[in-house]
Amino acid sequence: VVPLGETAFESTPVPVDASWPTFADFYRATFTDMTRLAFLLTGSADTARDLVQDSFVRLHGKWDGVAEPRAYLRRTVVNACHSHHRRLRLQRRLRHSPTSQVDVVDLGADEMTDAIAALPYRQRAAVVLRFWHHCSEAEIAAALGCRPGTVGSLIHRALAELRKVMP
Amino acid sequence: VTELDDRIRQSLARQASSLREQSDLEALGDRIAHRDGRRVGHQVHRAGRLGDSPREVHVAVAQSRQLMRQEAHVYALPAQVGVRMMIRGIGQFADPAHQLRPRCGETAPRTTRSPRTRVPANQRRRPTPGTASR
Repeated sequence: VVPLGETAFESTPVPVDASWPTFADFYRATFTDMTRLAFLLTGSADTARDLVQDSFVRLHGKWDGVAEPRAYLRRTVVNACHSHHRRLRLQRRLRHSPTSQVDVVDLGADEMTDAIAALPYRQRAAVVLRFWHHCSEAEIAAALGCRPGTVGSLIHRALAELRKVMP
Repeated sequence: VTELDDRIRQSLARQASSLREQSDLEALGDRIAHRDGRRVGHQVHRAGRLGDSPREVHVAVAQSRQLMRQEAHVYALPAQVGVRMMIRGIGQFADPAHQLRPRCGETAPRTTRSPRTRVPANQRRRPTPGTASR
């Protein structure tokens, strides 16, 4: 197993107490990280780019009043991805067609990636925030809008599902 | 750290690293300008030419009215002519409005007919002598 701390695959390290003098600096520092987060939650690069840009537009309107812009943006992106999944579910229900399940992961994915993509959205978001974004339970709870105890439950159920694909 | 955790981390990291995304501050500026209602013509054309996301193209179409308003041209003005009078024949005009049946709650347009003028007997034109038939 390659120790991931030595690879370039980790999410962009951004210091917690970093302060960005301008909105543009914050945008440049966090855009790629947030786009990859949205990509992991939606499975589509175009959708991720679109949702993250919209999230930055929302943040721009409240830039002066937000104390922790990174946490605010993370929650906005997670909520936007959740709304995207809700729209997809509604479209599938209205079309009544199994072939309308577009926007699934379009990568050369392995079994684990497929299993993560098949998780319910909240479990998937909890796993991504925990294992890729290195968020604490409190931060995940803030991003998902739930209690920290619920985060533990979500991750526990997600790991039980993902354990099934282990050889 | 269990083996499952490592596999999840590796899988997510591999998937995330496949996305090569660069920040596009200019595109963000366009979106913010659109939210504030500020969007100009060259941005409209650029959004279409670059093949932006479908939402952007939709925005570009929606802004065409503002573009026309700013650069008002005689050919771009909307039609203000209400066509109600038609020429039905040479020298004959007809206004079809009075022929419409009134809808519920409306009063039928009043048609004014010219009153029949009665010519007094002493003012009637006398027939030409010699042409009157008996």
